[in-house]
Amino acid sequence: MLEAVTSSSEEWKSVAQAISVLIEEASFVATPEGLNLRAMDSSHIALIDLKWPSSSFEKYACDTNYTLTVRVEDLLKVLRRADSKDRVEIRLGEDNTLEFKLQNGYQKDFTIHLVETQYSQTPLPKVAFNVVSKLSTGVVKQILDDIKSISDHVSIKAEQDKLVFSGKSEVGKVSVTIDKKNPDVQELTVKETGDATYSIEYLSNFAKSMTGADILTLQFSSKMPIKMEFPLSGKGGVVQFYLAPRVD
Amino acid sequence: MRLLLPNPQELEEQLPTIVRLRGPEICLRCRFTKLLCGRPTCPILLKISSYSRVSQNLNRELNGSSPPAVFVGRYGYPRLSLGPLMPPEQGDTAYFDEPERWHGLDFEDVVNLRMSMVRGRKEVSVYDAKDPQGILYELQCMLLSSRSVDAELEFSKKPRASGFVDDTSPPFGPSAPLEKYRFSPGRTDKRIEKAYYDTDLNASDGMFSLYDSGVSVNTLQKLLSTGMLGVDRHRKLVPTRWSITAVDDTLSKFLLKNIKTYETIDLFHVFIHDMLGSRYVIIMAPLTFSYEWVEAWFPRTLWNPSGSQATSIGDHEGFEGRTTYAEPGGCYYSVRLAVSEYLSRLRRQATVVAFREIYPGQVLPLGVWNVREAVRIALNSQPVVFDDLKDALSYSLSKLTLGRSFWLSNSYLLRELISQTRLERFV
Repeated sequence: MLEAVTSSSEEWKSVAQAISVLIEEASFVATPEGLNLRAMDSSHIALIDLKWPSSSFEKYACDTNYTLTVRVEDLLKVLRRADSKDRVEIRLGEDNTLEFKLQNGYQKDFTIHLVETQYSQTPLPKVAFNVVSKLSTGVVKQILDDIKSISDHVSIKAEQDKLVFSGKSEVGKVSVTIDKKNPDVQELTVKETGDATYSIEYLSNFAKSMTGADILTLQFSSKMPIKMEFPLSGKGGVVQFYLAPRVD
Repeated sequence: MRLLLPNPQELEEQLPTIVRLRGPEICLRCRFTKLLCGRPTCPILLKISSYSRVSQNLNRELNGSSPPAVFVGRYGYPRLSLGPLMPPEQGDTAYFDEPERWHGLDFEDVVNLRMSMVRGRKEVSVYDAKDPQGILYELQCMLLSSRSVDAELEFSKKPRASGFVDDTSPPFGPSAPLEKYRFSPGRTDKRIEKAYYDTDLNASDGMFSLYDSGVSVNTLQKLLSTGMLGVDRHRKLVPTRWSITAVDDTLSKFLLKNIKTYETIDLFHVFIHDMLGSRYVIIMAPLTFSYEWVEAWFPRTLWNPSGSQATSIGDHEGFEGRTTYAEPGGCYYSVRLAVSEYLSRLRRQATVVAFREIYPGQVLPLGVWNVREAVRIALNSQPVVFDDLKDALSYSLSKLTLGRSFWLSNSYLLRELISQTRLERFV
């Protein structure tokens, strides 16, 4: 038995949006403690890790562990029909299906088929992050767009009081500096100065998928994966993206 | 009849100044199709076509056997010129139109073989395929035949050289408007007949089921171009040039759908093959499917007649595939098909980077069968296998004439392979 209720569709919309950036089939693992998902993209460059504890649902009941694999496109189809104020109720249906009940004034019932799959847990990269920053999601999107206009890759350099994003290509080069005093920087902790380069396409897609969060956390170390994290709601759910670096 | 190949030096001298000034990239990106130099006709095409004006003892009547082969032109769409291709020989002429059997032929052999194919032409509408009559019906019946088809053709005038019409289709010899025709098709190929009469089967499904039952890519292309596949009301003629690429594209997409669900190969595989004045190097890496095709034209080659150094054209796609037409055109899709056939047989996926160096002297366009067959042969050979990327790359690049920096700056996937790390490395 599985039943999970959220008071609005916002969290589900954010989750589906974030997953759709990387994968076509999503395996949610439902346990009595909550709903989780961890998956790598097909090229093994990026990973998404969703933690959605039972406490962040309005109502959550799960008697044992289930792996629910859905086609992300199917999930998006249902959620596109959900108003942001809709109360969302999911439950396991008969014949290997997942039922969505969307309620706000009137009730919509959607049933989608689960996909048979062999699920294996993906390990998380082990990284000690030397740079931790909390930035406004809007400004990160802007900066990535600035770099993207010139380059396919973004180099991020962290000094004690500032972050420097830069990119170069045959066209030319671009650099964006944001320091600690900027109101868009909520936190910047630099244990060790760092410098790493990442694919801008992935980072930009991660940032764009974060529709419901004003602030995101960016963590990285020199020549190591970067982690981009955003809260799912104010109730404990969290989505994390990892992206492997580029090397010279 | 022997054909004299053009001298590259002479070819270059006769090119208009605009091509010399704006080349070599302008020609490589145009390849007859866009007329980027602003001329009403392609000067390179005009020049090389003159080499196909070999005298043949042809008159207004021709008896022979068609392989069977047809050509559908692309000018004047939706009214196109359509007709049979036939050498003045009776009997089994299938060889004239089966590139799969041309291994080992040299440049001149191929051109001479094809130049003996005479083309009859008649204007029809692409929509005539919904209810084929006259010449179209006759040609469709001819293509149903499992062997060469005896034919008597009568032209309204003596066939004259047409030769090289583009760089996707194989060349052919003189052509003339068709006045009367009589074909005697033999026993039908049951597989083709079934797809032809199944007017509820869409063209791509029909194409794939025929391919699955062993019908060659070359035959499928002829069936598609003569409107013999697809749901009845949607049947249309497709110019030969477009149909060649459509078949390569459709079949490889079908194969890739499965390939992308397979495990990756375990090691780095490198394949090398030389064919018709080109060297092919194919590198496969143990990663999920992505694909790149880059060809480098040396100076004094067809698309780089006047350059002083090699110039390249290439394109790539990631795991998700592509939605736009690849920049190098038809050969991108032909190589993708050869690569997909190999991975499909292996039941594995891989990241595939395929390079071709085209050496001085290749001044006539032979058609994309050339690269498809070369890569098929390459992939039928034993690969040289490496544990790591570094060794695989130094071996591959040592087999190419153009240096590491040339290939690195012109290959997106090569740069990605070198620069982009994978998360497994950090687990």
